[in-house]
Parts: sequence; C-alpha cells; structure tokens
Amino acid sequence: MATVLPAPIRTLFSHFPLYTYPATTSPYQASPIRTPTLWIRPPRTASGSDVLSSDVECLKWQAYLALKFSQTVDPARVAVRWDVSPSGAVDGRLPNLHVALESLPPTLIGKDAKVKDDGEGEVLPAHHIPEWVSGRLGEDADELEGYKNIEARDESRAWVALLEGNVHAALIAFSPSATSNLSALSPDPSSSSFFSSNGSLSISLSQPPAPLTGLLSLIPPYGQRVDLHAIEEKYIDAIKALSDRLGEDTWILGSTGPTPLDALVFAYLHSLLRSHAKENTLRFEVSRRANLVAYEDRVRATVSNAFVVYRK
Amino acid sequence: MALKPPHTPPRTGGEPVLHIWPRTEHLHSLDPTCISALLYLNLLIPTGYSVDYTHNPDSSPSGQLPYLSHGLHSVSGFELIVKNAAHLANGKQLDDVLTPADKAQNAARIAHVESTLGDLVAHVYYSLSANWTRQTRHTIASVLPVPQCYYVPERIRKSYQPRLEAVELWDVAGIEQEERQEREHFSFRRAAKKSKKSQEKAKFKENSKRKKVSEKARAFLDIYVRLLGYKHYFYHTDEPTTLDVVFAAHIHMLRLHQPDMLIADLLTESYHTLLAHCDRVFGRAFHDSTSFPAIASPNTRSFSVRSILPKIPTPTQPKGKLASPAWAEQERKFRLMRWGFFGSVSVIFGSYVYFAGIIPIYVLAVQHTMKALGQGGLVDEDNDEEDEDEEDGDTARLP
Repeated sequence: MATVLPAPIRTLFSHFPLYTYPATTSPYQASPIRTPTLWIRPPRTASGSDVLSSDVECLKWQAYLALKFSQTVDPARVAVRWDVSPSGAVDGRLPNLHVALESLPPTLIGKDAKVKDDGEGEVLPAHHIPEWVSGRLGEDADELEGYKNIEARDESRAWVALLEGNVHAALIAFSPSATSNLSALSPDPSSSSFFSSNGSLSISLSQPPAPLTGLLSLIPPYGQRVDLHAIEEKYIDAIKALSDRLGEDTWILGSTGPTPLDALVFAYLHSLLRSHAKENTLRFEVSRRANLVAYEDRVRATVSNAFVVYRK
Repeated sequence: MALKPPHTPPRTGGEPVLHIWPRTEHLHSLDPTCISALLYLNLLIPTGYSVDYTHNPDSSPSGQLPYLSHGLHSVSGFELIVKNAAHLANGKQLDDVLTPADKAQNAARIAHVESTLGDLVAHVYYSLSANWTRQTRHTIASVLPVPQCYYVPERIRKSYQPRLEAVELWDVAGIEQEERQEREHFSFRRAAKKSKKSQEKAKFKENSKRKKVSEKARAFLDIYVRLLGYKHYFYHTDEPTTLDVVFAAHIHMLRLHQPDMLIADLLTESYHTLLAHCDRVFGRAFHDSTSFPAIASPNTRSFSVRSILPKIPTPTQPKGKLASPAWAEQERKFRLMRWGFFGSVSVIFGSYVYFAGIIPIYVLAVQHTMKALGQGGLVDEDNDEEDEDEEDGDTARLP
C-alpha cells in the first residue's frame, strides 16, 4: 500500500497487535526427489517384479529412457511409480518424469523457475523427456537421431504413423474394455488402460467413423460404427510388414544402436503379446512371427533392468 | 485359432460398382479415399467396373464411402477394395512390380501418407473457416437432397473435429471468429468494435498457427520429395503403385484453388516435382475420354424417406467371428443370469398370489357374478341395497 495509515487509526490498531504463529512442520511432507522418477500407469501384475506399464504410451517412454541410458557407460537407474492418479499429472496425461532441479537442462527451466532448490523438483510432461535425456547425457542434437542415414530417418516416420495409426486402432478396438459392457459401469477410469475407448479410436483412424444412427438420418448422431473387419485386416498387414522389415536385424531399420523407433516397436509388441483380446487375433499374429517375439524378448530384458520401484 | 478362408466374392454376374461421393468440376470426388479407390480401379481394371456417384454413405456396409459392390457382396474402405480388386483382375495387383524390400516398407508409407495428408486435407477443407464457409459447405450441400443439405455438412465437419484436435490442426480461434461473424451478420445490433491491439494480437496468433501448419506440411512433403527424387514414380517402376495412387489423390485435393490457399501456395512454390507426379498419375489413369468409367445409375439428387430414418446396422459378418469360447462363456453366463432373474421373479410372484389368497377371492367374485347374471339383474340390486342398509345399521349401533 502506498498510502500511509492515518494516526488515529494506527493507535486504534496498536491495541490489537498482529501475532504470527510459528510454522508447523507437517509429518506428511513429500520427500525430496533424489533419483529421477517416472510416473506411469500400473503394470499388469501387482507384484513388484513387473515394472513395465500396461499402457502403451507410458511403456513407450519407459523403453525410450531405458534404451537411451543403456548406451551410457554408467547406466543410471530410474525409479518408477504408479500410485499417482492420471488426474494429478501434467495436462492430465501420464507418463510424467519427476526430476531434481539441478538435472534440468537450461532449455527446460521455465520463467517461473524456483530460485531455491527445496527438493521438490520439477515434473516434466512426456514431450520434454527427450530434451531432458539429451541434457543429462550431455550429447549434442543428432541430425539423424541414431538412424543409419536420412532415408532410414524418413522411413522411421512412416513406421511411427503405421504403429500409432493401424496397430493402435486395433489395440483399442479389440481391447477387453471396448468389447465388454461391464467395464463401462466401473467408476474408476484408471482401471482400463484407455481413457475412453470410443474417443481414442476415432483419433487413431484417419477417416472418422460414421455415427451409429446414420449420417443422413434426422436423429442427432450417436455412437460409432466401427468396421472391425477392416481394422483387423489393416492390423494383419501392418504386422506382416513390420516382421518383413525387421528380418534378422538386431535393431529395426538396421540401425547400429537402439533408436526411438525401437522403443515404440517394443512398446506395441509387448502390449500386443499380453493383450487379453477376446479372439486373440492380436496376440496370434505377433506370436506366429518368431523374429518379432525374439526382438521383444531381447529388448524387454534391457528395459526391465533399467528401472527400480520407487521407495519413499 | 482357425485359419480364415480366402476372401472370394460370389460371382453373381453384373459388373462391380464403385460407390463414391459425387464429382465436382475440379475434383473427381469429395473425399481423398474415394479418389484413390477410383484411380486404383481405373489403373487395374480400366473397363471392368462402373461408378455410382451417391450421396448416401449409410448404404455402405461400414457407413463410409468408398465402397465396392459386386452383386450382393460389398466391401468398404480403400484397403479392402484393393484386396477385392485383386480377385476381379485375376490375382494381379498394382504392387506386384515391387521388390520384397519395397513391399515391406509399402504398408508403412501408405499409412503415413493416408494419415498425414488426410489430416492436412481435412484441415484445409473443414477447419479453415474461409474455405469451409465459402466453398466446402456449399459443395457438400449441392450434392445432397433437400432436408439433408441443411444439417449434414455441419455433421460431417464435426466428425473430423476429434482427430484434428488431437493432431493440433483444428483452428479453434478461426472457428470461434467465424461463428461470431455469422451471428453478427444476422443480428440487428451494431457489431462491437474491437480495439486495434486485440485485433493485432489475434492476427499474430493466427499467423503463428498457420506457420506451424505449413512447417508440419513442409517436413512431411520434404520426405516424399527426397523419396521421389528424379524418378517418375516413388519406387523404381514404370507404372504407378498404390503409394503413388494414394499420394496423387491427396495432392489433387490439396492443390485445388480455394479461398484460403495455405497448402496450395506451398505446393506451387516449392514442390513442383510432387505436382508433376500427381499430373503423371492422373494422366496415366485417365489418358483419354474413353477411359472414364461408365456411370452405374443416374446421378439423382432425389430425396428418399429411408435416408432420414436411422439405419441401425445389423451385425452380419462380424457375429460369426465373435463365436469364440471366451465369448460363448460370457454369453452363457448372461443367459444364466437372465433366466435366473425372470424365473425367480415369476416363482415369487406366483407364490405371493397363492399364499395371499388372491385367487380364491377372484374365483368367488367370478362365481358370484355368474350366479347373479343367471338369476337376473334387478333382484341382485335390491339385495345389495338391503345389505348396505343392514351394514349401516350395524355400524350405527356400535359405540
């Protein structure tokens, strides 16, 4: 306040002094962050031995972190926790990476960064993870992103589109939560791996599905007509193409080391091999291709070893 | 897991008919997948099919155009049409000329083109408000009959919204501006004047969004310029393949002259090779006027009452597929629960009726009325009145 209190009011107020109580220390303080922690959706089995998430998006980033750190001389272990609800995450979407302030590269320190490090750290959304990793490992921005040449990098974009389009649509369309009605009644949205199967299915298909009540009818549009047969055919073609392209290579597209595309391929293969789909079409198509199964086995060993379960 | 038998359509005679959205004077159809299907069939079986320009996507088995019908058998969607066309052309496919290495990449590249260019086409036609209000909406309404032309275009636009929002190509600010302008156009109040500063800020935001979209388009198109190089088609072939067909169909829609030339200008400035490739594929498919397919039925814009009724799809083929043991198990459980519920309801109701003695009362009443009817009506009424008086007398005496 720029104005000064008039004297009579000041004397009046002096009869009622302001007393500030000392700060109470709460026993429920969050412990300071020591190791970088990845917040993910819970794994399929409740036992502590399985640290791989049941959600493809979270698993993708887990695999990315694990493969990046596996290439360094002294691989740092990243902690993993799944007791955080998705509504508490940045933008409401997991995975998030909870890191200590000093490990943030300069590009990620925001305008309102904390001056003093009180151990709280910073929670990064998923799209900032690559920046953090390159800052932590101290590597320069690689033009080729680890691929053999520019053609391989261009081809990797096509594979990303195939996996996140056709294969993701098949995963959602044939997931147990989409096909059984009882799961829709459960109040806990985190019980199924996908937020709302109908919403995310229309996002993964390039042509929007027609409404159940008919596009031209007078009744307002409701529901979606999902052509499961077409989705299944596209999925089978996609897996065949992926298997042919992988061949006998160690890493996809014949790269010398793991690339982001390997993380994505592993995430999808792992989820497909463990899907409890009604008809098992998804699992069957992948398991009959030995090279895909062997690839998933190999990468899973690397990825699982890179994580420890978070302890307070 | 049973192996699926090969997909052979029944030869019921008659030509296969491709049903797609109608053509306009500059576009072969209103939808890029329809154009791809048309190009593909024209390259594979030039005179072996006919085209039906229909405005009714609900007649397709999946609710979307394009779909190919041959007698009683129909398939919907570009990929399934490609597979079926192989049967019609005696096993030949456009992709037969590819090497195995190229074939492995082909599926990925086609998915990439369909998803990214499909999103760009949807953005240019449905999201940019200048294009939507001045061109696309009018074009779609002109191919639809009278009641549908008022509400279907907006429905189609809304159906693209979730996907475009997910890839950040849905122009929220532009659409709100457009809605506001339309409301002001029809209201009698004078339009509120916006301050220059807010106008500049809005313009700056809009420009940065447009730049982001063209950056995205550039990154994608550069990949395919590199793949095409100096060749005629994307792979080292003399004939166009499926990838060429899909790419050319989308570029054909993107290069059209429109009120808002965001992507079209980008193409004409920097991507001449891609435009030349598109011309080459179209030239190869429609090299003379006789190569245009016959029209299956006259292009009627007539209104049919059936089209306004909701068409709930009846599960035909997929139901057979769902007969797996896990599904049968669930079905059995539900049937058990249903029978159990209704059975116990009827048992409880029956026992209540029996033990509450409702049935004897009704039986007595029926017998009474039958007797009364047999003796005659008047006598019965007098008796009733006497009974009533007696009853009243009884109650009066009680303290």
